[in-house]
Amino acid sequence: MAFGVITLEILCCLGLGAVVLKLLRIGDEFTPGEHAAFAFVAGFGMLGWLIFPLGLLGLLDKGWLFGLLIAGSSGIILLKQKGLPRPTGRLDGVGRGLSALILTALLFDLAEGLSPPGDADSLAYHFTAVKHFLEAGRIVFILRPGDGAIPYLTQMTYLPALALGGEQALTLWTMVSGWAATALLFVLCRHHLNRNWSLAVTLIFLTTPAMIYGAGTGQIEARLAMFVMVAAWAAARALESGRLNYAMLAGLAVGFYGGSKYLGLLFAVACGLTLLAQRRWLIHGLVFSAVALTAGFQWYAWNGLNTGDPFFPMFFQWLGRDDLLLWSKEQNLFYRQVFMNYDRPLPRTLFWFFLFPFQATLDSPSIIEAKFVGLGPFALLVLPFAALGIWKFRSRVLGSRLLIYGIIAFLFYALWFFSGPSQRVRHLLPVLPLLLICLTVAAERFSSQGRFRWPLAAAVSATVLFQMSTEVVFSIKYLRYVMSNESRESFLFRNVKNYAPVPWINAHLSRSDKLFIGERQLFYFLEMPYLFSSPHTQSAVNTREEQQDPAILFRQLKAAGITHVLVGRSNDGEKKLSPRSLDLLSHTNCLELLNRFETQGIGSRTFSETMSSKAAFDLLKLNADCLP
Amino acid sequence: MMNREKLTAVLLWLWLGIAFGAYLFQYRDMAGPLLKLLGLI
Repeated sequence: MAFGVITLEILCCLGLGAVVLKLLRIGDEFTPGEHAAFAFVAGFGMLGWLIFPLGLLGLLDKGWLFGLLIAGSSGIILLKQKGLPRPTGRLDGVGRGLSALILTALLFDLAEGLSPPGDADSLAYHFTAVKHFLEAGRIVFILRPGDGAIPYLTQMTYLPALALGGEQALTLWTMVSGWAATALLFVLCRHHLNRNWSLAVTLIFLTTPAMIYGAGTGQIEARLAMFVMVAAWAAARALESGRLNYAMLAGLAVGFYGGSKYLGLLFAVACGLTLLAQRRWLIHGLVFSAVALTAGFQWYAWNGLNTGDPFFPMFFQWLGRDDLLLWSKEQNLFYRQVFMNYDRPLPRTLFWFFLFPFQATLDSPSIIEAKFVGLGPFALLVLPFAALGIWKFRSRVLGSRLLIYGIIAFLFYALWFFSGPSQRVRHLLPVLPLLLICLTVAAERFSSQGRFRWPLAAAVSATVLFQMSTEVVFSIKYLRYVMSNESRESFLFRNVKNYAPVPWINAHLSRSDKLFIGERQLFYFLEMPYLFSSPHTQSAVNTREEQQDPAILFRQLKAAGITHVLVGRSNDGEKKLSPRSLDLLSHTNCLELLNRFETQGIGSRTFSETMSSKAAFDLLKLNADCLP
Repeated sequence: MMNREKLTAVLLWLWLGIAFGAYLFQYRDMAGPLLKLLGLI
């Protein structure tokens, strides 16, 4: 069933994309394979875009979603069947070796696709939001900054998979859409590199730590890389040909990126500025902007309608509504001051702008997650090869398509570094393909003859060896699940932090209850309403340490409709529960202990057995009639 | 005396060794967890 649904969704993306490319009259220059790769990306974005109006109209049910997939699939008759095939011959030994490694990596990905979801962000919102929308039959507004009120265009494509094929189809769909980015990179590489080098870059991207971490989960960066590649290619073609169709395609891809993540707005600026460097800058700029706006506006309008701030919570201080229960302007100020600076540990200066890539690659602060979720060693290793190549062939660089790719990637990095809300390196993953193409082409041209071939081959080999080893280690838990009789529940106990209370809570609490909970990775599994207790993400119940009055806490819990509280228990010191107000309230008859759970606090999904610690959680029932 | 191409090649090999070594150095604390995961200790 799940594989059938995924096949139908793939056909739908191909079909919708083929229609888009036909309308834009782009495709004459493509081989059938290239046409399919570009069509999938355009169709993937269109599918996400089309589900939004269905969600607004309350039509998120199996029938409508199935109908949409069938209707979209009919467009595959427009897929290119023949024309301009590139010469193909038998793969040599290197090509066969690289293909075998790619196939191995894909098999590891398949094991992940067949396993239950375990990534914390996916369980907190990427998959959970989609699950909520399906349960409600419509799009519902989730008033939470960072992982609630955000653009969801990419996650909308998860809806048909989950609705029609269940959780297995959902995880398989993220696997497939992650692969699509890799396939498109191969297509773009073939414009500049021979087949073996294209396979090498494909393998390096597929096994980049940030790809291994996120491509098979609900994380969207791998999928955003597709939009980036199409936008950069189309912008370059617009500059080369002067044709408006390409500016439209660039605008469409950029709009889909913006509709999927706020950082897409920075990419839109980077791509738009590059597009302006031509004689027909005005008309290209206008068309690009209009199409990007149409493709990306949906979720900003939705945010604006519900909070007053289309870019919630960026401009909430000035644009936000004052009548929201969960969010106030005072809360917004607190969030910006405390939480957002936490994600930017390195100073935003010119010095660090240039040093950041080295620091992130070699010795990053843990909050930016570059050690385990980084971009790999390849860029660092080939840097001098690429620099020498650019210098050697500097006369050819100007006017090259690769220069466009390089400028777009550089501008995005600059905008991200100086104005982005976070310095997590995985946010740069979408532009990594552009960097990989530029660096590899420059390095390959420099090293294609003479004695430089071997050190470059060694750089590729070292990267592949390290990254494939990482992939193997990362995939052990999935292989174990797929190849053994391990149950879903057992897998979740081992791989999801503090999962232990979930089965009991689902068995004993009902939909009329409401849980106050600080463990966001459990949201996906909960079968009753809940409120995230973090002091950063809601103002209905003040859980900041400076608020120590249990009576105030009790009143706020009651007003928010809370019936139960799940809270971590400390065995050290006088204070057992946090915050202090909750600890004090637990000593009154307002909170009754229902159950206590021993849990596993997992520091790493890959090393869950060695990098974990025991923890304890209390489930407390709120006695609404008490007097604290 | 080494010619320019040979010198460049030597420097590139040197870069590779140092850069990859520096990259791997950050994972020095992972040896234990890795060996345990693989069931070797």
